[in-house]
Amino acid sequence: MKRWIAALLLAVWWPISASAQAPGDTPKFGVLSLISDTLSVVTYQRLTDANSREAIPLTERVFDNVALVSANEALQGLARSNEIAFLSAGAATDFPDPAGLFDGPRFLPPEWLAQALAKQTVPRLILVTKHKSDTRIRAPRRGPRQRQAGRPRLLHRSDRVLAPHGER
Amino acid sequence: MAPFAYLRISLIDVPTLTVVAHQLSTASAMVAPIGYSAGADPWDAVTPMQKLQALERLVKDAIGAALPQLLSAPPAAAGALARG
Repeated sequence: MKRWIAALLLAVWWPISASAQAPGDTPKFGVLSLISDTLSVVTYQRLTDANSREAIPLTERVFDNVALVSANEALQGLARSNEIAFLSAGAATDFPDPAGLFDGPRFLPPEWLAQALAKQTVPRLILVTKHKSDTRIRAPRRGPRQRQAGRPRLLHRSDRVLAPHGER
Repeated sequence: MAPFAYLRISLIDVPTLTVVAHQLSTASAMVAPIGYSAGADPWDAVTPMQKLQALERLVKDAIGAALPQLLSAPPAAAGALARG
């Protein structure tokens, strides 16, 4: 099973940016995202003044794909000559606990990933994982722009913590 | 409803399996349609597509902001730059 996973993993490496420079002159990156296994829904319960948490399994790699595309855009924006390879986990069961991947400065890949990386020549890996922390959501200030009729608004900056109740 | 994306973006030196640097992102957004009543279920306040788009934007913004900082670490000092 592990060999099958590794084979599948290697099959999805592919260069997405050809480089005209000589080998060795161009930084090479592998990019792997491990965030698309579940979606967490945190709901504030007014009666108990606490949060309930539900994990919804995801069958599609939507957010991993977004992460890979975003990393590609960022790297290409930094240097058009950056050569990048995408890496993808084979199945939801391949997603390790993010907390177990690191021990200080040491990266502790699961076996299937270590085997895959050992066969690659990519010197650097950009790894996107979930980060467990208190759930802190900031509420926007009420303002005229919010009262405009029509579409929902996405606000990224505010100054008031609405629900600092979170779980690890 | 407030979609959030808590991510860790790590730059790893593959030959040595060492974390060169990392960035933590705790981005969130507020999605509040006009006319939403306080008693309604916030989950139903926005469509599935709006939920998806909001999360996609958070992921995209987090990675777009993190990578330039990760890659700005000078190679000689990279081992000491793990940060969050």
